[in-house]
Amino acid sequence: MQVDFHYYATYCAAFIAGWSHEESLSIADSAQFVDCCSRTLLDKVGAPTAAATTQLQLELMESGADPLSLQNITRIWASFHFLPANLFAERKKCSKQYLNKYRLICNVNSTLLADTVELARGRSLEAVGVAMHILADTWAHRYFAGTPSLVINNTGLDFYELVPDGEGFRERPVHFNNNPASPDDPEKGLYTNSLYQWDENSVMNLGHGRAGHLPDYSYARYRYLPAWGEYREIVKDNPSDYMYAFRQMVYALKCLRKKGIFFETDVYDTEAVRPYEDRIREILEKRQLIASQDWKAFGESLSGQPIPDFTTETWTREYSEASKENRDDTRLGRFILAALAQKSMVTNRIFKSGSLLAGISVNIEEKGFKGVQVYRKLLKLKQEEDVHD
Amino acid sequence: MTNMNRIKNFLQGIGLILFGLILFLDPRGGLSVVIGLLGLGLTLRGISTLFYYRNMAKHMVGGRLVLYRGLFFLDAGIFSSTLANAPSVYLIVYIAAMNLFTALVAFLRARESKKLGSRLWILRTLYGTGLLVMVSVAIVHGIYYHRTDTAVYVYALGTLYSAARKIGSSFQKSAIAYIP
Repeated sequence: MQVDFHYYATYCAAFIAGWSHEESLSIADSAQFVDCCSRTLLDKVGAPTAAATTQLQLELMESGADPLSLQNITRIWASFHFLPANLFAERKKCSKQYLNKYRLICNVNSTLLADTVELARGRSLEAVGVAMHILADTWAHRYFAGTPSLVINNTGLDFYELVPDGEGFRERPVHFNNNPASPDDPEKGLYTNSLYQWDENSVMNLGHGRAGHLPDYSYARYRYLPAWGEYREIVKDNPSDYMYAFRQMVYALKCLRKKGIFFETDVYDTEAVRPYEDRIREILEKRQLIASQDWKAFGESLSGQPIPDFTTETWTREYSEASKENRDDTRLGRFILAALAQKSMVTNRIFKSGSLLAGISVNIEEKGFKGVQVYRKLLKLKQEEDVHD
Repeated sequence: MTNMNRIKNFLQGIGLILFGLILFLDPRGGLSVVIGLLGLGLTLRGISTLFYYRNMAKHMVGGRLVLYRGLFFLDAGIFSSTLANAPSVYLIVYIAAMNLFTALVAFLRARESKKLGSRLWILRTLYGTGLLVMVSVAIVHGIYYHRTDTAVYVYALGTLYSAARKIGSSFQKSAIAYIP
């Protein structure tokens, strides 16, 4: 998903769920910031780089294929963009090595998603935004894994877009090219994807790179053969999936506002969204590469307030100007805490499934504090929450 | 990283340092060793690709291609190992290509870091420039003066750099704390 959904649509969902204009803006801002919080950005302001929630293309290119680099990639992409659906999935007659990667395939309504939403409960608005980003991405990025893997993330050559035609659809072959500078052209069916790389762990085989940006376009409907699918085709209907994502966000955001109502998977707030459904469907179906203006207009009509454009400048400025001891109380400081908590949880779940793809997780209740020092911040957060409770 | 991986990384790093030092001390003898290693590397790549097919790629749509690729590498590796006097130009081309690609990525990263306001752009520019200078010297010496030992020195420097990274990563804290 892109800024149109992560920022503007998240704002709309939060407002419909009952959050105020200011709160909705903070949640939406944080949801979009997940796509901007790279190691380079954090390094610029002297923030802990272990809290990165995304990687720039060149950061990925620079990253090695050694275990530590691959674990870092997996921690970031599986935690924030491709939440694994079933870490105990089984598949007959395959090696453990294959199974570990197969289990990282993202899909909707997982127990890990429920854990993700509940992790934000009682925490900052930034934590709520992080959870909404992850929730929304499970719908866009389903069937791909947040780890470099040719055997999982590659797609077959037969890739067709289903283009609306009268009452139905006509199939049109998707023409992919590998030039990142060439813009996608939905009218001609020309899209950019990542280069085919033989190496299993090449960053070109990360996530939905081989399917280009098609999963990120709300209008797109397409069918293809996923590498892991045993020659069974997948038909992806983004307008329908994005509508589910929106309804689920409204439901999740309502849950997080109220004490005692826990988030359950496969529940959608259809009623709250119904009055706006036609307008939302119209935005989702419109064949455009970015739907920010339409979502923005919709959001402003909901709240009657202007929605400013998203910028990372305010995040970094506030953090840089704060004194060292007050940095955790800035928006970026709270975002970093939320990001570390999410990474820690997802790494723990993957580790407990018997896989080292995201690294080693140390339960501090069993073994005391070990490992990357910046995670001590979580210990402090937990102690503060315990005192508060 | 598991303790076993740390020990493995550390020992590999020590091995690479020794190898790099040998290349520095005897660049002429080192040339044939490096060319031999490139052939051996191709053979090992073929074998590992066949293992990769057996463990992973056979489950993948179109995975049969991986099997053919493994057989090709194996064949090419065995063939190149049988060549008694492989021309040293292969080594120069190989080293130049590897280092030029790394330098290109370093420059692109430097530009990106500068754009985002990170001070790391200076370090990256220096790294990229250093690589370019080394490659240029190796090419000029190899082509115009027919001296291949410079290419071997560049290769040895790369080996020492890899060794330092391996040893460094074996001491790096990597476990992620989890607070239930």
